[in-house]
Amino acid sequence: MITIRINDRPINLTKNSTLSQVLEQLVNGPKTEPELNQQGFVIALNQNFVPRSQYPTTLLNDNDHIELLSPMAGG
Amino acid sequence: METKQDLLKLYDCELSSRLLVGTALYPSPEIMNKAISASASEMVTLSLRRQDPGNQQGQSIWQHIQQSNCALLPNTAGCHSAQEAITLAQMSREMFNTDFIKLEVIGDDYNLQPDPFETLKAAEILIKMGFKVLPYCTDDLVLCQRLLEVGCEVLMPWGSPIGTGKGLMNPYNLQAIRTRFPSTSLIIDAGIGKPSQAMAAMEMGFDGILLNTAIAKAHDPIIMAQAFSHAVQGGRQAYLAGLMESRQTASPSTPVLGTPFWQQI
Repeated sequence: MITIRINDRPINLTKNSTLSQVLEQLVNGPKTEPELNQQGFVIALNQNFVPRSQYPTTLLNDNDHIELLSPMAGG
Repeated sequence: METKQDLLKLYDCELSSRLLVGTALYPSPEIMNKAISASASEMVTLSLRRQDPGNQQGQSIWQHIQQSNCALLPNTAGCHSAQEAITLAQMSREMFNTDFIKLEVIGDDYNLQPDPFETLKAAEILIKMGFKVLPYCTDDLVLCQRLLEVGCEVLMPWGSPIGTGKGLMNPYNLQAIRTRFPSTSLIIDAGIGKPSQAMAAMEMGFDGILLNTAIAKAHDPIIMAQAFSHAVQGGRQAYLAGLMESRQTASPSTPVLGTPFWQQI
């Protein structure tokens, strides 16, 4: 098992989990790229931007931090 | 009369409205949309924030912003380093499908003053990455010069700190920036509290105004949005028409020749 944080919230995962697999848990099932776009969030891993196309191949490690952001009002 | 050719140029984007508005702090998403419409703005700012994917609140705001049909100007609000701002800009580009970014790197939380050093560093890198950077900056002439040198085509000096409504704190500095960079698109961003302050900036020759709180926190945001729209248009027309030179002494406007009751001795 490994422990990662999503927006500072700890989550336990099995080793060799990918970003896509974590997102499946969060958004109830696998999603295609357009569906992820519709879902309205984007991701940075350890403060580095990860494009949606790389979610399936991005392996997560112990203590990784995922920043999961969505559109919000702003000035 | 303003002509159709008098457009606000932001990189390759041309807008007929010179007022850009934020989408935060409104009493409701519905009032936000009506205020945006009343402002006649064609570009709105927005942000990315942490949200639970199951939470629909952010989705609702996002749907309303999309309904406004305005061009999007995502910001990097809340960032305190160039690296944070660069990452957030990349995330915004993927989310909102635009190269435009309002670069905001805060250097001090007391007055939310932009950090000139980190802003410049981020601007240089983002321009190389293909972003159209609109940097929120202080009214420092040399900083503005450096931002232009790294490739920024638009500058957004503050009028005064965000949310204060204090207007143009340092007209001398702002006038110097306007005079020094006559062909750069200059937008006053932050600190505008009254339509008269927006008008004053436009009369000075600034190309546009970006504001949020003054409209969103008005008793009636929709009417205030209209007021700002009129003020920005009026100020622009006055600038184009050419203001008279001010004088130290009075000068009669009615012809002196033929003055009645003239005492001839």
